[in-house]
Amino acid sequence: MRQLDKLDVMSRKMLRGSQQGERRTKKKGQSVEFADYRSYVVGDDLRFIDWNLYMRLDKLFIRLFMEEEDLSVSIVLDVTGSMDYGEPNKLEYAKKLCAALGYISLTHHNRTSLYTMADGLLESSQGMRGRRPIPQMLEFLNRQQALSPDAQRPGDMTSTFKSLAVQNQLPGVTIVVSDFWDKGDVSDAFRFLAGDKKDTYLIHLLSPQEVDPVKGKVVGDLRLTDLEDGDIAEVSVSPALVKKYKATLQAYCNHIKDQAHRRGLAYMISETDVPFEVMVLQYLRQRGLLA
Amino acid sequence: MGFISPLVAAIAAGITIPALVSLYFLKLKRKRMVIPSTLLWQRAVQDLQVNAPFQKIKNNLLLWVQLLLLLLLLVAMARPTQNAFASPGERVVIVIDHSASMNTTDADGESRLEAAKERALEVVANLDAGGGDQAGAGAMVIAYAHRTVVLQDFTTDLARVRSAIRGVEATDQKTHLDSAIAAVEPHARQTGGDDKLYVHVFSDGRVSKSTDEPLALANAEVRYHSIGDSGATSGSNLAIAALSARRDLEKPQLVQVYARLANYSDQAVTTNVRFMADDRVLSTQRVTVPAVSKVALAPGVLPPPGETGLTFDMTWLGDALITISHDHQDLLRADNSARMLLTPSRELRVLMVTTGNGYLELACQSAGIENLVQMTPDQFEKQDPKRLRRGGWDDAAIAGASGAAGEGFDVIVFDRYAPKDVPLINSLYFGVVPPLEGLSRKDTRPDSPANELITQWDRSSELLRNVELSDIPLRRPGRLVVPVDGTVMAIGREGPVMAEVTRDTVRHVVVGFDLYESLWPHRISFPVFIKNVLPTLGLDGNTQEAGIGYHTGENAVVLVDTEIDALKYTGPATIAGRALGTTFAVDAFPRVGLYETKADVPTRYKQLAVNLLDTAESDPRVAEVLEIGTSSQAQQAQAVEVRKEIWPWFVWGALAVLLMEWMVYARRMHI
Repeated sequence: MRQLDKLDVMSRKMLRGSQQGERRTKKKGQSVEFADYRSYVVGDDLRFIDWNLYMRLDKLFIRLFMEEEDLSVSIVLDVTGSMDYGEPNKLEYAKKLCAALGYISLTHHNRTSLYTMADGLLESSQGMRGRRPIPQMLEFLNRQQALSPDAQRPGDMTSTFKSLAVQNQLPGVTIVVSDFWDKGDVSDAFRFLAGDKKDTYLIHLLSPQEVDPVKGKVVGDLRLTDLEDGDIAEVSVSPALVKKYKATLQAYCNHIKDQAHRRGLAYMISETDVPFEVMVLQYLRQRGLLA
Repeated sequence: MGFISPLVAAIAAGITIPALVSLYFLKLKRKRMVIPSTLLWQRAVQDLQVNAPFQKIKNNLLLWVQLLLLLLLLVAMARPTQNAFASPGERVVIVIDHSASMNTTDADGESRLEAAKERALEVVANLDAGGGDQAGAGAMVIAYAHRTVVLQDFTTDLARVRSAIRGVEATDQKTHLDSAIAAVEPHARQTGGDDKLYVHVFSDGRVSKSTDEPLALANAEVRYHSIGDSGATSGSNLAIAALSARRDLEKPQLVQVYARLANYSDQAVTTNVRFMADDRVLSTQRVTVPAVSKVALAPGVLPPPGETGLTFDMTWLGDALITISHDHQDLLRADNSARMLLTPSRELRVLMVTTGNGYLELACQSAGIENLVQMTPDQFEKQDPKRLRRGGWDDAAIAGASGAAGEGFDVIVFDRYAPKDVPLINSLYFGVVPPLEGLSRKDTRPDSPANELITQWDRSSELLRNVELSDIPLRRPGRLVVPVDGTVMAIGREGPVMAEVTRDTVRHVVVGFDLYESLWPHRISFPVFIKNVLPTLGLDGNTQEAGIGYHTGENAVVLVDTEIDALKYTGPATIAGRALGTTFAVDAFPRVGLYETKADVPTRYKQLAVNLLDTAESDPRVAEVLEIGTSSQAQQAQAVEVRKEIWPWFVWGALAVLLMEWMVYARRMHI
């Protein structure tokens, strides 16, 4: 916790908040950090006149300071059926990650919202700020369960992110934690995450069993059932097929990464066997999400 | 290969093969498993199929392996049988030809004898296919060439049979199949009831002509296995088919050596023929021998080989080893050279033991016998039997055969006098029989007519060549009782009147009637008979022949003057002599070449030159038909279908395929 307290959610952009917070914004305002001077005009607050300059130049200048505002942090947790897979379980790992990110965000008085998504946006817990709603956030995350294929309705990531964009129009950081198993077009979906006022991080979580099917004992003549849509695939898993699978997975990840970069989204990929501390304290810091 | 129950297998195939294939058409019962997304798997499978054009075949490798497995099991179910030359439980006689022609090397580099042994072992392998001893089963092994050797009597121990087969050694002898058949005959007779004796003859069919009576093999089936490359004429063989030497009658130092080359190739062969005396090369001739004649002399008979005669003239007084060889590379090596020992000139010396017989004396003179010595029976009995025998040619060459009694004789004629002891020299008897066991003379029965004629005689005998005996009245000639090993030469009304008996290598020709009791001396056939008999008995028929050479398979008779315990010859093989009084009978020569001894024997026996000189053995062409005895019925080996089931092989094969299938599956599925 102490280590998390030292961290804060970083945005690669200077975004405007709605309330005064701990984050510099483009907006000049009241803070201790000097930003610029400008000539005095009638009506300006006399408290910000730089009297020393007036003494030297005999002109009135107003000292401008960086406005420190809060940051809107939206954390989107994927609760599709596919997340309930792997050892360590992807959903559990993702929930812990979201909890850590939410905690960090809240402790720095950022405006924090949590969303869950599956075949669309499911639930949300919005407008949390300060340490007080931390239990609320944890409770929200705790009750999240992966959706079974039966419970899911048709939908895809595009519609989900579209809904998110509509609901969350505040400038800020959006963090999507998902395995990004989507049979639709992700580039289309990412369109709704991009924008000048948004700084979006995609955290792609994969279990070790997905990266190497042999670890998941996906071997032999199998009838594979998709956890999300119940789709059936009959395969005879041979070394050649495993090799091909790995190549396809790599290509898929690269595709998501390329599409994210095209839209200006930050992309991070991790396996769930990476220790959580390493993930938060090192991995996310190295990639600039946390500082 | 045949099948015992093909219908069962066909029915099973009709059920199982479609079932197996349909199993592949039907979907596999796959293990169910949930995964986060099938997205990548579907793409991977698609990519794999798109990128590998032979993927279907690869995927179906297991199907093929399983089909093969099924097929093997189905074939096993059909109970396949093998075509074999023998079936378990048979009584089999393995007769292997190990004559000279079997040393021919065929195109595959293997001698025919080796091929014959392999084939024979195959037959034996068939015998124990049923496993265990079976009633009446068994095999015996006979090897034949000039003589027949029973290598293994009937036994059910097939290991011993195999060992005997492997132990058959190559020889350079001629082939006398009749003796082999004769060895089998008693066993065939013993086989009774429904049992049959199967005689497997492994030979190239090059059999020397035999004049023996045809042999019938009751209860026996002869299967001839033709060994050798039937198209062997291309490999060809160039043989020295004859070799002889003669001295000039007037000038004995002039010697003419005659050789005959036979070419069995379908192309003319040019080669160098080297003529050597002792170790000196006297001459080399370049000779072209024509190809095999394109026309057969008779239907079913192979065309005769191309032949060329050669003569070499030399001046040589003493003895020498003459060798003739050619340098043509061919299939058979035994006939590429021939050798003989050149003897000094020799004249026939005859002793006549008689109280007086003008007919005989006249006949001897007309036969050109210049060295004729006459003795009365009393004088004869006083002689030392050993000194009566002529030791060799040396004494004759030195002394010029002047007629002195001490020089010994080549042949003795007994006229109405039987010696007390059997002489050590070839002899001719008139009106008496020598004291030989089993040989006696019975008088004509008193009630029989006084005169009779010779009714039958052996015209093929060299002693009766050109001798007409049909018009000779005999007065009470009696009849001869001839021992089993004797040869009847002529038969009168009551029985044999002329016979030949050989004891301890000494030939005794007996004319049972008194010349004075017949009109034979008045017939022209009498001097002809004397002219035939005396040189044959005295000089082995070679009055002018100046070279001594033996044939393989022949027994040499060595006359010794001194007491020696044992006689051994070394050379291409080591052979021993068997002592028979003062003579030694040397074992049959197995191989061609020069045999030498260190024993104290006369000069002419120090070395023995042995040759093949047989056109039948030199002929590399394989006879597809083998005549048994003189029977004209050809026996042809045919593969007969036997109940030698070979389904276990298919089951083993199926197990191997099963293992392979497992490996294929494991390889595919092991990650």
